Amino acid sequence: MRKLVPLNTQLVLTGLALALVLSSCDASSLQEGPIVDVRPQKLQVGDELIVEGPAVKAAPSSLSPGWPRSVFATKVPTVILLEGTFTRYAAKENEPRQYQDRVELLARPIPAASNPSQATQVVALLTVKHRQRLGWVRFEGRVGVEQRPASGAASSSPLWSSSQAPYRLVFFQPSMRSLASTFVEWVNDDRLLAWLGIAVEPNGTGLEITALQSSSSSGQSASSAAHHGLLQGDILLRANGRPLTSSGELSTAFRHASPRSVVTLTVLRGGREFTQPLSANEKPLLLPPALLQLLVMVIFGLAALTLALVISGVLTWVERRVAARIQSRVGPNRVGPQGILQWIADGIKLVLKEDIIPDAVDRPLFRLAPYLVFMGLLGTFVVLPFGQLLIISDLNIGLLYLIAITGFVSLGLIAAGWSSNNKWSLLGGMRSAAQIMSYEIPTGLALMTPVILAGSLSTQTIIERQGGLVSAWFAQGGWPWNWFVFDNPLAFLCFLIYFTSALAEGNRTPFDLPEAESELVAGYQIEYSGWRFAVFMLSEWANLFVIGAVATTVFLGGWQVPGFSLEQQASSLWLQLLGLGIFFAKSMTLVFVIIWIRWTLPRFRIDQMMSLCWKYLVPWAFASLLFVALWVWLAPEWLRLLTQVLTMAIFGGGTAVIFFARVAFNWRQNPEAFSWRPFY
Amino acid sequence: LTYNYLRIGGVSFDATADWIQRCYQFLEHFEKVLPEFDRLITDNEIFIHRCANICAISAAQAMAYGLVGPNLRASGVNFDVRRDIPYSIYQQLNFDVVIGGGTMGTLGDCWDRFWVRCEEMKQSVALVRQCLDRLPQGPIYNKPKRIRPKGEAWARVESSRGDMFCYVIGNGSPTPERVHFRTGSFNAMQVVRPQSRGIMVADLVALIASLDVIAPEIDR
Repeated sequence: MRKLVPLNTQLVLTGLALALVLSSCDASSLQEGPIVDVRPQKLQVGDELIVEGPAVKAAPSSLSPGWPRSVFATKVPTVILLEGTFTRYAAKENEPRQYQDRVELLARPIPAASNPSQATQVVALLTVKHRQRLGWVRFEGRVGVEQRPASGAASSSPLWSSSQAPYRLVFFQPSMRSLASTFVEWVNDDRLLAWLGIAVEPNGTGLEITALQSSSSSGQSASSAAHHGLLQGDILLRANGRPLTSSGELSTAFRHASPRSVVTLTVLRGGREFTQPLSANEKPLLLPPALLQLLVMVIFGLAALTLALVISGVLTWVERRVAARIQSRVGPNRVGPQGILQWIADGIKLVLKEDIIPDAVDRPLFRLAPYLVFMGLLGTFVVLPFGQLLIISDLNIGLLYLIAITGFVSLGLIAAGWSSNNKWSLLGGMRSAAQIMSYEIPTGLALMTPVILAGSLSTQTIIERQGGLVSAWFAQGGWPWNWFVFDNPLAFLCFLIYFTSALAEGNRTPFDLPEAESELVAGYQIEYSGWRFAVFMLSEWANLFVIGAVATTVFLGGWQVPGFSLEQQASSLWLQLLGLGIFFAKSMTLVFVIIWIRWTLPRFRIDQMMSLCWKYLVPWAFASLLFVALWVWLAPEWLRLLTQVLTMAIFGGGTAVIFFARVAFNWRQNPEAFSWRPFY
Repeated sequence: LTYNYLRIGGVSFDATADWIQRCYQFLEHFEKVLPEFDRLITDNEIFIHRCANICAISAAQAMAYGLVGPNLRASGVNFDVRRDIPYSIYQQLNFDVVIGGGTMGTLGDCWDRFWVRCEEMKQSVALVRQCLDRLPQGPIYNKPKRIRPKGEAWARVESSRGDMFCYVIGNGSPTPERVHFRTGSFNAMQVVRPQSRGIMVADLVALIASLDVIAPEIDR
């Protein structure tokens, strides 16, 4: 696991404080056991915090070397202990609040044999109960594992403990998805426990019955726990052989039990274990947690669809207006203010058109193809981080998913070309397949460079790593010199490679060969009309936005608001909105550049396009990848910082100088051609 | 183009002072825009790669296929009806005949044909300016008398697509026995067949576009 380098003075102070805390501990009562890994670094409700010992070398042992055997003793609860400095950022406070605290998380041990890492783990589930104390908090300090004698015993001195300091963990607010499943679990638990007539409290080894409704007062005496002879103070260890650490697991056991069967509980009473079958007859309706998750997914999917439609619709108008301006025309300006509603009029027109399916086409494929293309592009919206808290799903394989899901596009284009039964369509489809498959290689390689720099495939993490490590206003929160595009000269090259290949993958000029109108009429979409044609068009412009958004995410710092740390941004709605605006501004700037390129450059020939890819982009992308890998591995921190500043000065500044020099040159040539009015 | 402004005997409307003023304004604007087009397209790397050394037509082949106008001059043949068989007032006007030089590749390739046309636009600006300067006052239309000629006559002018040749045979009746227009596009289309062997579809587009073939002119 990669540890962040402590750079700021805060951290040094924290370290000193920690040293004091540690030295004041009574070391003699602790039996130290090594901790090798604490993961993940970022958690939210529903995630599991894993504390791992060293890997087991000798084969059949299930215990990491140095760990006490008592970790598997069921009678003694295990807790993960977080002790150190907590930093909380609240919305209404300007300064982050720091405080010393000690948080205990009930955990369960997992033997080394059942882990791929071959090490003993202690795992704690972050539940909704921890939301208040561990939501939007950064933790720095000691992570330990503690065990105490069974609850009720007077002494609370730890049986053993182990720590390695300092660890840094960030606790996020729970996402909609995890909240949804948690909500269903709440409802289930409530219903089940009311039905059983008990209240339970997890205590580390199992569920302790803290209150019991006597069978006489309960209307459903046959089903109540008291009827089955359970007493207050009993500890429920297992249900149907599965360990119980939360009431959710109890309701899961009952949910899976068929109505006529029984759920066998293993109960600990007075140090003695026995089993007690409970009838699942007339159990209450327990909802699968996936149900509400599904609902949330559908809502988010529709939101993404709407967003994609609106973005691509408006972009068609933007493109037509920009093109008109470049060609000294006016462009659509009649529907709505400045014609901004033109896309709705066009959409309605296309929907009302006759839906023509030519006789000789392969009907199922012909009808499916546009949706395949659109699906590939809409799928990318899942991992596009519009804001720090505005992402549908922050997949840990984000970029890999992105590259994979866009594969649907080439599938759809080939299907459209093939099924149309038209030689120009087929040529267009084949061209697009060859083109997309070739250019996917430099695209993927160029995207791997920031992945190496960030150490993660997750789009959110890539953006967060472009926020600088030093907590000073000029160094944190995504200033241009923190962006990956300026990390080193070859990262800048990778940005150019990505941008070029993305144009080629998106069939944009100068690589729009699959739909080259002068050669192939309209390529793969010749035979399409009406709504399916509209879907093709929408995907084309949705793709435009995706190119811009991915480049923004991966190379240009995404939603980071310069001058503010991640926690500050997370705690303020205004900074969130600003971040959203920044993300869109960056993406739209790139989209404008793409449109600009389209109406400026002529088209490549197919062999030239292929030789550009295979002879130039692929080798350069490989070289950059290799260099950046070595760079991250070998270059010291000060050299990397120096290179970032120099790269921005030389390449960023150079681009700006060239741009303004050209503008000045054209200004001198023909000042009348300049107009500052965006609309006319 | 097809407003029938030009007609036998003159033109349909007189040029107003305002129109002449606007003509001068446009020429000024156009002269400044032309170098911009050069920077944008003529010297564009992708454009050069698409056009240079593509479908080079040699001077001998150009003459054999009867290419005319810019297509002929791009192959290095120094011929312009306006200069070599002058008609109208071309003798009084000052202009250069642009000839292709194989600057970016072979003589007579697509890029040369494009470049000759671009340079001719600059010549056209000079020609229009000279004509506007010496635009005479007076009647604009002299209604021709209907005659019934016998015998044959020809005339040739340098049109926008090169040498346009008109041949008329009269037999003494109100309608001529035969009228033939020989235009550039028809001949240019013939050279596509030998030139397009073994090239790519994209090059075919460049070839036809560089020959500046327009369909109504082929249809004879």
